[in-house]
Amino acid sequence: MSMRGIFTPITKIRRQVFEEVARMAYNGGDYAKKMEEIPFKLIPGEIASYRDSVFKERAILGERLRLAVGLDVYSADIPNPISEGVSEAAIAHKVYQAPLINIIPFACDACPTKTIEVTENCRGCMAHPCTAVCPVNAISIVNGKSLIDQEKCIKCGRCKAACPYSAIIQYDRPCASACGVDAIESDALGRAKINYDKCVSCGMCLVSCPFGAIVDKTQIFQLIQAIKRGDKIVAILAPAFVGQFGPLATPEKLTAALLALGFADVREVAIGADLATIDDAKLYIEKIPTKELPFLGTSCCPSWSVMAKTEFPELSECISMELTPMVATARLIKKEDPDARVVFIGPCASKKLEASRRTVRSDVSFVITFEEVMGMFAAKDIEFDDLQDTSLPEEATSQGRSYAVAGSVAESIKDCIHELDPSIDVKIDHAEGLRDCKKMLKLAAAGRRDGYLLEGMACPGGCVGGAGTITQINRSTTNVKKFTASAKEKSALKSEYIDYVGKLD
Amino acid sequence: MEALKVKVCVCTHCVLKGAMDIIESIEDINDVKEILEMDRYVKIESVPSISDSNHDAAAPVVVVGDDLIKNATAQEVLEKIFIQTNATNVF
Repeated sequence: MSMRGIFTPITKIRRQVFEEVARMAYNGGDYAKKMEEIPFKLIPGEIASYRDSVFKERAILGERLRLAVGLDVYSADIPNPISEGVSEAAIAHKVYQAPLINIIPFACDACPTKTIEVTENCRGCMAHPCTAVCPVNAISIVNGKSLIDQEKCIKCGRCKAACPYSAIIQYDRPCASACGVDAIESDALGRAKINYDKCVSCGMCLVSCPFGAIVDKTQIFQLIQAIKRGDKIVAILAPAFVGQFGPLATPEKLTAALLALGFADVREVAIGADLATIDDAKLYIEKIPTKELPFLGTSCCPSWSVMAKTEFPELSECISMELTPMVATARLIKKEDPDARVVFIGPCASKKLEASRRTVRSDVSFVITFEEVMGMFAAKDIEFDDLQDTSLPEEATSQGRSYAVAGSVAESIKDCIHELDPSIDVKIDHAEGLRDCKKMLKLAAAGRRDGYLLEGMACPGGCVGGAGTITQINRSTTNVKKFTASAKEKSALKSEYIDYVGKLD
Repeated sequence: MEALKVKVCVCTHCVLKGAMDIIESIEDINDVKEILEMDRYVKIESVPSISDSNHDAAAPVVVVGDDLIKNATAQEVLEKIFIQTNATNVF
């Protein structure tokens, strides 16, 4: 997790892939031939920059290209060319099939899994508190120094805490460490493998792998086919969008840029978040003071809500089933214009999964991330500074716009509840990162969050920390807060779309 | 002494290839002015373009004083800043 916000060669390659795939899609032609050429364009010459050989670098990039056009990864023993299937994938609809998050096995360094080890710092002291605190007697003194028997070790960490010299260290493979639902296991060669029964596609492993071995599929290729076909596509921007594309991309310039890419219109998902705020506020008022439900969990983060229902099935009813901001916005737009197709431009991988769920599939045609759309801007050489301001309709309220920052969803719903009924006392709690979300749900399951509104976010800082963001979390948070404050209306109840509440199901 | 001007291009290609991360790495540089004995302050500006060329292959582009850096990294930019401000104890 400490790699977040740091630009590495992996970030560069990931974004170059998005740009090249976008360029290939816009230019058309012989996709198979072009795809085979891209690894040689991005990795020229004969000398490797990052890995054992330039062949391996290109092979891995080839797999990234496959995922970027929506195809499955090929393992190293498959003789087919990387471009196999790309022509069939050049359609104006999502080709997406699970899995969304993929490990490229031959890019994985098979990093050691969770281990506690005694280092050279051990001074073989007289006290050896490590041996005293170990609950399973795994530590012995060998040649005057402490030694942990890895077969016995239960990785509790007590010895590490007890050592006066910090001589005992704990490490884990970064992907498994970042995963809040313990979905990373090992294959026969010790390489990371995702257990898809547990994985909720939050994407935290993806941004944590220091060898760039974890990649998600994109819909860039198909989206651009739809644009080229002349489809009327409305781009809806998640509240986390503010400032993501650099200081030149004001909302007005960004709107112009999206229209230049071929979208028909641009709207804020905050308008759907306003409706979701009212929905959840009403649900809370209906179910919590009467104790019909012990607590209410928010719905907008799909990884959180899937994790909650899978790992705490007895609490399923307590997680709001109201429409998420993304779906509410898409449905609203379809009511205004049934011919429009909707693309959600957001901060994360998780929303790609939500949009493929059966109940929402027909409303959101494509999901792309900020990084992916930035690749599209670069492919078309779109410069924000060269464009005329195009105003984004002033239709969202502060409450909807605030959703991108952790804690703000619960605050907005709470404020809305108080406006509807000032007599109700609302307690709120929130968690960031699925591991902490689980801890919060354990408290709820034990009856210690009765009467609460619980907000769960899979990403640190909330949506601004999503796996598809470009800007650092702190900077993003500041940008979102400023944009939130600048909304004309402060309360979701003042939304011009309030009549849609309850009518979009 | 007049501040050392550092210009970071924030055009589309440069932002995509890490311009904002470079800004993040260097924006607190003046905090170490005293301890590294830099001979002047550093003024960081984000600019919409540098030398009017398409930055696709050269991104990110940064200018430190009069030095143009293509495919800049945070380390390289900091190195140039320290050289141009005669910072001590750095290398």
